[in-house]
Amino acid sequence: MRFFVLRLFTAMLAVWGALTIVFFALNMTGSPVALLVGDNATAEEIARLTTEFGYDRPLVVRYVIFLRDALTGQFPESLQYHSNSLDVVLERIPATLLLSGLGLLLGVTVGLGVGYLAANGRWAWSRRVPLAIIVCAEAVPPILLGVVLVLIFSLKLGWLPTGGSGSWKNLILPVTLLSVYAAPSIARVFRASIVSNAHADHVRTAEAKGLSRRMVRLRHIAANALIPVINLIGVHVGAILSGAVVTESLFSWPGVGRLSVDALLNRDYPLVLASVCVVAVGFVIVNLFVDIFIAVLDPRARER
Amino acid sequence: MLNVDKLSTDIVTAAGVVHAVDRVSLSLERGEMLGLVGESGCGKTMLAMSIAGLLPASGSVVSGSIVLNDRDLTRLPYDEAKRLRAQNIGVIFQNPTSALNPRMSVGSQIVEALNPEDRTSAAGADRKCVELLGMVGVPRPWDRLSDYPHELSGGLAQRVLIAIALARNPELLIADEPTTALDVTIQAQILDVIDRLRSELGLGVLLVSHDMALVAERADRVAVMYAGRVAETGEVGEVFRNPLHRYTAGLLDAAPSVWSTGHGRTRLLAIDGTPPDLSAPPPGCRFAPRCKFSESRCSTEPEVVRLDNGHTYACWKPAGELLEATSAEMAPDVAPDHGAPPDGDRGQPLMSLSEVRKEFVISRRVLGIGTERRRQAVAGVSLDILEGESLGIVGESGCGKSTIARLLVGLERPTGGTVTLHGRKTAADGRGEQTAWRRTVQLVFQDPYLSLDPTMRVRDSIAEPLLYKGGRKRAVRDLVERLAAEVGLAEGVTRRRPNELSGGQRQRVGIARALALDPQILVADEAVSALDVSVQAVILNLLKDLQRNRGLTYVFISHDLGVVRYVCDRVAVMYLGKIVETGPTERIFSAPAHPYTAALLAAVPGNAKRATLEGEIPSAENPPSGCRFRTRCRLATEKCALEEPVMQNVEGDGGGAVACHFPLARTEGIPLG
Repeated sequence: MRFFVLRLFTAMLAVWGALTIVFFALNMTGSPVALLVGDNATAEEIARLTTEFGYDRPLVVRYVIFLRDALTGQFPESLQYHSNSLDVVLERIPATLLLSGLGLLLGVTVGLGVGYLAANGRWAWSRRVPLAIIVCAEAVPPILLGVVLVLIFSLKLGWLPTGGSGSWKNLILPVTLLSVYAAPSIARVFRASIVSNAHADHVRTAEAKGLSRRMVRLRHIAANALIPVINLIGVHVGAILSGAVVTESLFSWPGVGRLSVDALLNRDYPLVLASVCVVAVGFVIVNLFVDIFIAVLDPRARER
Repeated sequence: MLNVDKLSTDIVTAAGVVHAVDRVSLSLERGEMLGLVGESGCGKTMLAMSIAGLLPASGSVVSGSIVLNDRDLTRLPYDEAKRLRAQNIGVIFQNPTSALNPRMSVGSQIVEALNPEDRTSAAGADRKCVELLGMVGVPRPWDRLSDYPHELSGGLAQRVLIAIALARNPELLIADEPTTALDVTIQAQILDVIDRLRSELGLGVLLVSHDMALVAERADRVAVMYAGRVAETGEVGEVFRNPLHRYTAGLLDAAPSVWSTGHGRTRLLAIDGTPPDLSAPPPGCRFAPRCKFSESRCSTEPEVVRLDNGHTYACWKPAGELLEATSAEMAPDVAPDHGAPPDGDRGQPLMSLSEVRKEFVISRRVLGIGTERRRQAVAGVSLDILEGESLGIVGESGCGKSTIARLLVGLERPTGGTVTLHGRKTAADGRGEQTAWRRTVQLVFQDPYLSLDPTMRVRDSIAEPLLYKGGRKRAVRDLVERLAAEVGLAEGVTRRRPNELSGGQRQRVGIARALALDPQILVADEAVSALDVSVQAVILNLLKDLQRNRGLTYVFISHDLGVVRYVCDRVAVMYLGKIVETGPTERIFSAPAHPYTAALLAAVPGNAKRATLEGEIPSAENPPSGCRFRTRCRLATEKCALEEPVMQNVEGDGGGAVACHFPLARTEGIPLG
């Protein structure tokens, strides 16, 4: 309980920190009004808009207003969509969750599978080949890999659509691409963790009990080896969220990633702020769950 | 019940095939305890693991047989042998806390080991677990089921492991160094449990241990292993009273005993060298290259001689009646010892602690959540260190002795009280003073391997402090070579890296590094605990020589009372952050005044008045009121709970001081049992 309360508190602290960084980073680039109105705006126009958006006020005041907005969810209106920016972002959330959720799921599944095989495979090739393949995939820049996938499966073979949404077929390529962000490193860490756990003293105790080899491997080696992997998955959620920007843009997937890229290109400053806030909060929430999950798995972590 | 015949086990390594066990034969009956002794690297553990079927993947039994109740485990199909072992053999290991899965509760780990018929219902399985935990003396077993291993003390974890080993009601218990990682008091408790189970359940026990005294006290028979072979076997009393193999005799001579009185006058008879590389063992008697008595015959393999009383040995030149001659060779120290310091009045102490306290914060309050927890590692210790003496600090783990070591060398700063060196306060002074302090007081660590940088050549490790001090390269190199020679490191050894050295060589390096700055005080924190007795003897002799030649002062922290008795002039006994008794070594060991000192001594294997101290050292977070030892003391009264005893002088010759309301009179001896 103490652990949970403390962890919740640090999570809130992290959200606040993320919001603060986003706010100051965006303000560092100067008044967005200049960007907003374009090159041939008159000075009066700029002054009018600056007052309208409140950019003439001191930074601290704007910061406080921003924090209040963030707490109440009352972000300024999006310049493109003319409605509450937060609502615009939230509308796109399910699509992103679907894509990155499936990407993470596939990445973790493949990563754990390949990692387990690499540690326990029966034959030398089964220990080496699958790991080698996905590590190669990791070495290719994702955007290049995405283009290659489209070239082969959409343009050459014509099996899958090049982008868009609506059918399960639209999901296959982006999900595959996203899974490449997570799978290789999970496989490597899981393999290494299994190998080092296999020499732990408690494994010998388990063998002395007369447990089957399979039981020893699953319950006493692999389950213990999961602990560092779950930490890693928390890190990968961040990578996948940033990967979603690339992937959604590449495959025209209507998610938060593409929305924020569009918002940046269209100088829709309130929308950028809202989408970055949502992603930051999402990231913190996921890491909160990761920590709780680790506490369930590892009794020692509960006391830290 | 168990018959091992000409068993050979090989381990395949990159460097070649190691014949870890070579044609070993032994037998064990129900209810009997067989001790297996020898230095590390002699194949004891590999033999035990061959029997238990727990060899590493690179190891395998290559010939011979292991017959358990008329069935040869080496000839059965894999699954059948595995089933038979699971049913009939329980195993416990050296490091109890790491031998339990940290992720699983105690209960679930015992349940796994139960017979299928005991696990049909969850409630039934729990009941069986509780029964097993009760059997091994775990207090409040129901509460322990949901505990996790990191919440258990070493002693409790070892009891849980014994419960796991007993889950299928085996006939044979293999105990591989079961108490090596535990305190002497807890060791006695665990061995008592094993003894009781042996008689109650008729368990046969194979006890693997490096501790000769422990085997002598507990086992019925003993097998001494050297270089993968059995050198000598027989009844325990017979073998230890009348060792015939030179190796056995050497091991017995090498161990300093708590019960020998010749303290300080003699050198330990060390066995030089290390056990041979078992991928290419020497021909003939394998001990011959290290044996002081070897002759030409020893290059052919000695026959196994069997005496009428079952005592067997394989030695061309057995010790036997010649043993007296061996004892006579115990050369007295060349110079008389550095004068006994009993009255303790030799002017200004070199270093002293005054009411020193050290607290560690375990957890803080955050935003008013939780409670602040502090652990008092040292709770008001006053201690003088006199020039030229060897002061021993003893006590169970958790008593604060290592914290004292760190305070003495300045690695920790006291929370309260003062540390003075040469009569000047050391705390919070300028940088220069700090540096001077560190040069005067140096530390020798317990694990020489972990305390040396693995990537540095050892000569660079030794030179490092000298270079910091601003020495010229050429001069430093010469000094390093002189230091290496002084601690007995052969030429060329200093060019190697730590992983290329033996344990004894590493500790020599550790000592040379500590000596590099020419300190006055060496603080040795369990400096020989990780070493085999033969190597330990060499290092102890070296430390004594260095003290005589350099006029060093030692603070010797050890859980091994035999070593302390051998090395130290004066002893301080610590319990839960406080010193409970100090005094000259001879007085402390022959007439302890504090019940705790008496109990520590009583727990040492080989004590005729064997008695076990119950319970474990309480938490330093909430120490008991009054006398801290009262919760485990049989003499405790209400006064002990209310009033904290102060140090008072012990009457009679020797003297010293004790903090107890009811100190033991000289005649009373040990109040336990």
